[in-house]
Amino acid sequence: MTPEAQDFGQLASLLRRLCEQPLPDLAPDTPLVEIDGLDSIRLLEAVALLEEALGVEFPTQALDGLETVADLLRLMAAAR
Amino acid sequence: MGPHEVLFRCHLPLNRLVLCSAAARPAQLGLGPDQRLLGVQVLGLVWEQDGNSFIPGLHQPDCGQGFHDLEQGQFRWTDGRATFGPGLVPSWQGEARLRIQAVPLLRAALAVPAMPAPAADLLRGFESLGEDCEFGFVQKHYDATPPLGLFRWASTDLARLLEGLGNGFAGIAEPESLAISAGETDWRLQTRYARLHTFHAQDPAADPDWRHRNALLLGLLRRKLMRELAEATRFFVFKSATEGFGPGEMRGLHAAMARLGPAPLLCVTQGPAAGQVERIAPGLYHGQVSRFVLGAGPYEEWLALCRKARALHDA
Repeated sequence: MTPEAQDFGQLASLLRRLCEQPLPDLAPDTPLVEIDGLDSIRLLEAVALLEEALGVEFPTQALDGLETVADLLRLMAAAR
Repeated sequence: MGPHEVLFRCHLPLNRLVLCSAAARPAQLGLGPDQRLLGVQVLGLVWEQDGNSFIPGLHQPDCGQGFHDLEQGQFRWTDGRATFGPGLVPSWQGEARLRIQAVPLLRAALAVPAMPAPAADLLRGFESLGEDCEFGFVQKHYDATPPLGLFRWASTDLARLLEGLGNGFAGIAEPESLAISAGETDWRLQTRYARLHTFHAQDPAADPDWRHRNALLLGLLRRKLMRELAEATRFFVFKSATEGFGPGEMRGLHAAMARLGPAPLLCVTQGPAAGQVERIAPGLYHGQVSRFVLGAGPYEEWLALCRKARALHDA
């Protein structure tokens, strides 16, 4: 499995848990605002949990431009 | 000056101030159905004297004879001969400069006016520091959805905010310091510095991991706020309905912020000068709204305050 696929799996699992939804159509180009249950609080919870899981601190200015699942994946990739 | 600004020099006080221009009825010019007599589209007024600025609100009802009704919460047309009402002129004496941002009828009809920034874009640049979530509702009303801030959906008071600014919100992310309590609409997260909405209808404490999760979230929000204060990437807003919150308290709050960075502050109180903003000190502004109604406006007044504070700060 590629690192990108691992990241996607980890992120998808986290979002499903936070949103308490199966989110069957989740894809990198999915807009974050279209994910059921992912309001602004839940999104930052997801970011905070990702930071803990990866043992990093994302630059907070990157939070201003989070629009799609791919944006979160880019944060994860940059932190690797 | 901007592309549609006109500068006048005036000696105050004035007996009468009339903005004169050519005028026409759009319907007669084949520019649409509007039968009104229109002169210029006034987008904003700025008075300046000795480093002080006064930006009167165009939404106030007593703008004066010859001004049409406010449109889109942003501008008023004149009828070609608009007399400035008392609320549009500062109570200064001596030489002053008046900048009028206005677009003539034909240019407006050709859809090339210098319109102000869309409300959502403007409001995304602002962030609440308390004392409750009223400004969060304003941002939500205008569909301005920046990333969550520590105080966007929170209530606090000046003392706790000052304490947090003074110590960098130390301990806010300690799990054992957190508590959950029931609110009217959702469960609330109580921290040392603020009480935050969780937007959870079910008791979050049912999740054995709730302290840990919320502590992580608060740590991230704290880090984000400290960076925004240090780098002045936001225009901060503190609304206070507390009696006795005046210029001295505003200066104190701004001084506490200034120790962390140069971010500007707009303090909002309830008062008779609704929609108007005054500069208290460099980077510190005071605006008034006619009333505080949590979650129900008056949105146009809030928007006007943010526009004026932004304009004053950028001038």
